[in-house]
Amino acid sequence: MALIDDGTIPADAVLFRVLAHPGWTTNKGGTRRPSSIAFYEAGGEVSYFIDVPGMLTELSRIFPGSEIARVPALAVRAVGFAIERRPGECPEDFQCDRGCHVVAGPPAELTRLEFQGKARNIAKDPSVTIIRPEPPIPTVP
Amino acid sequence: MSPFAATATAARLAPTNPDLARASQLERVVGFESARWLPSLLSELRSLETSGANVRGVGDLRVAHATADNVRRLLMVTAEAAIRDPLPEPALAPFSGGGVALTWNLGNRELTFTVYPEHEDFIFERTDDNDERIQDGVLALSQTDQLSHLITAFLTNAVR
Repeated sequence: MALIDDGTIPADAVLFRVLAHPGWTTNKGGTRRPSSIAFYEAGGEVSYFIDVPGMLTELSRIFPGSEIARVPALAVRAVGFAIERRPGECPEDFQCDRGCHVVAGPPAELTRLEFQGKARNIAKDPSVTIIRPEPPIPTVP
Repeated sequence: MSPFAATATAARLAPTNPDLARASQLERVVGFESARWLPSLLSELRSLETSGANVRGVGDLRVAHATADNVRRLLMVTAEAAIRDPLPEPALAPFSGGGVALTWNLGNRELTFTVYPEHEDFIFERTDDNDERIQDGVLALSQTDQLSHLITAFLTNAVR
């Protein structure tokens, strides 16, 4: 389904993509980065979370141990992708602003090959980095 | 596409192992000498197939049987190609929406096939030592010559 870019998501917003599989990272020439595979999506809609206060902590809680790609919205929009809010597709026990769950993808139909090329451009964008998981906050007994 | 002729270094996949049994249904014979990684990779694929989940906020990582079968067919064909040009062990990774990526790395260069649900063809992408894409496209399993050339080009780092 074609996505419509949400203008309320600022140009300088930062998105987080949970790297759910070890194969979603790669090491090229000594530089570790998300692999293109992390940004592939058979339906053309890749899930992200907008960076707001508390988001990284919440993602670390829901996806413990998972690394997270830090992706400027600029890098996503630079390949022509739209970013659309999808609060209804948040994890069920999400304890942050549900309006910060977004999907990104093409605003018009693309071939799989074209989509993968754009995913690769996002993965290789120098502004895209990997964030180590935050250690859990110790609970007071 | 013809199956392998059985040789001293080749073995029909034993049906006692469920992963191999599924593969053997594809009526392939593989040379374990040239693709020793195949049994463990088939097992890993089976694991992806049985343990994948729809993870809200990440994506649907469930791999359908039909998609996994396509990956198995691709693995068999690449194992066949590996008889001529020994291939290192590839890595398997699911991707969002029920797809599977199969990636070979040699130094910095990479050859990746992606298998999509409801598609019998494969997207491939080959990169060079500078992590630059030098070849991509769509291949069907029946295009064994092209597949073989692609693997040879990857191994020899040919420009095309």
